[in-house]
Amino acid sequence: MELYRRFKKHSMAMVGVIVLAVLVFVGIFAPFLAPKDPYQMEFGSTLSAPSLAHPMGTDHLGRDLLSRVIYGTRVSLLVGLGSVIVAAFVGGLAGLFAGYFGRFVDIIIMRILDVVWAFPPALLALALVAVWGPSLTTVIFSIGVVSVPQYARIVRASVLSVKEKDYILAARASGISRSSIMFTHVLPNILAPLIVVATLGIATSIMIEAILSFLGLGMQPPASSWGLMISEGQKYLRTFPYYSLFPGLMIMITVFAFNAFGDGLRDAWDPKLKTQ
Amino acid sequence: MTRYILGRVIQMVPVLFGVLLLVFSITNIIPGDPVLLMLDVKYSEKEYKEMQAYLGLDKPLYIQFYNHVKGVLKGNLGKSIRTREPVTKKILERFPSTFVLALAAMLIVVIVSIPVGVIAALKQNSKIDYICMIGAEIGISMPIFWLGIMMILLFSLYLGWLPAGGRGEPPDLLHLIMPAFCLATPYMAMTARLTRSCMLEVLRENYIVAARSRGFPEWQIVLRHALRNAMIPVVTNLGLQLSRLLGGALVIEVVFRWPGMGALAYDAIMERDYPVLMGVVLIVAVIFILVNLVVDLSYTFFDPRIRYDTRKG
Repeated sequence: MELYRRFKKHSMAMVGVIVLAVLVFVGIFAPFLAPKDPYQMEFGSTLSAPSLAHPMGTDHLGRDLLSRVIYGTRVSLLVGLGSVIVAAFVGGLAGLFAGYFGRFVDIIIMRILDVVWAFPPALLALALVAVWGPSLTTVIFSIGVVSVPQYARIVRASVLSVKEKDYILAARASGISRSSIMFTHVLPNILAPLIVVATLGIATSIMIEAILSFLGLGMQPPASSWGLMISEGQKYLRTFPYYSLFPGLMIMITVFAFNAFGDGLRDAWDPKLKTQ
Repeated sequence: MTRYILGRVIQMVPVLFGVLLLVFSITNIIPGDPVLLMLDVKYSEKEYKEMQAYLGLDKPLYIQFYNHVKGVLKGNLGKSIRTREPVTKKILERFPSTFVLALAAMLIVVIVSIPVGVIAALKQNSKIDYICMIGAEIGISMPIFWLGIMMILLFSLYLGWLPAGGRGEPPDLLHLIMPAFCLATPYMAMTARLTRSCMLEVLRENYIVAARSRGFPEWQIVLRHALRNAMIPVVTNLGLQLSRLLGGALVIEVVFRWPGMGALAYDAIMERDYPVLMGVVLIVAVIFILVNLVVDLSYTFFDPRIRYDTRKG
């Protein structure tokens, strides 16, 4: 309750929640909300300006841009959520083991993650997709892999502080096994920072997906990906700027909403984290 | 102090080794036979064997990796499949362009975001603070490649004030403005936020209250007492950002046709020239590790407590 009260005071975060709710609704009910089939081509009306029939206009193949932008919400949310699940699961476990067992386990895990950390996320994701071949699954996994170190670091730091607490000592004294302590006592107490990082991580993942698709190595045509639409629209920038404009605005709104929501959660959960 | 530096340098070695191993592994799992890529469409068995031996691919993987590491240590990153030129030469040709772009972006970050962060902190919860922080939030949320395209639309196509791409012949400042600004945008936002929160923290410290009670003028308190201490995390963070800027320049270089390492990597992906791509990836990672080391060492310069800790240990 206290958490909700503190969260509600964060006006930007409340805006973020509302925008996110709308985006999730749009993503789930895209087939009902989209006025046209996003793949249906109308060669008679290519690159037409916004009108009542096509509120955002049409693309170079005469497809309705609004419908494609609506369907693009699905791709962005799916990639954002999917890659964060991959990263939080792998990074979370790595951080948990490194922090709890310490010593050699810690050194080995953290050095391996330092290697991944050394690469700029978008560049490494790009190299991985180039190797695995572009598809929704490879995009999700590539972005997930490059995000792992971030989660591992946060979880490790939290585990290090939690494992010194009295209740962990008590659990150990009562003879509970190490794995049981790790998953039933330590893990629930480090979920808060993990959820905050995951929320902010979705925003980063959506941005990387947009970069990959823009460069032609993310979602492939005819998929409705915002990054891909910006890239296609770039060719018609002078004559038809709406093509690139709307998908870019959507990325900005979505990333803004996740960032605001994540910041609000962080401040509500632990105001001390704000200054870090 | 020497022990600390030595310790950090030794810690760096396994990470560098890991980076080499990862890049080597990625290159080796890429589908397709690199020998075939180097040969003409019609080739004989003998030619195939010769090319395989020339590329060193007839040897077991661990020998190939050993030779790869040996080559990298000598500055040899292999040859481009397309042009047969040494990868090192190609990267060295492009590196200055990327470096200039990253440096210009860093300059914009410093000039804009530090004053903005300080003003926002001094005027906490005022209209100016809200405007600055909402601006920062938008800056972080904006895809830089899209910002680039929109700036080209406005400043090049509509207004005709700035060139839409390239570096200019000879390179000039006008070509640098838009790409540097776009590249700087998210980092400006992050640095402004960090400066603000660090300033707020420092302004609450007892020594600031003490300075105020002794009647020092406000500008002196802000500049000499608060800013100097608040800048420690900001400056070290700027160092890390510079290395990230080098990697983040890729998409901006593509949008603005800026002839740097990012554009080289992009062309390499499009032409499936994997030795070039992996060369760029390797160099960017190594730069990041080295800059990280310098930043860590600079902490000992800014914050003497770290030195004392190691001396005790």
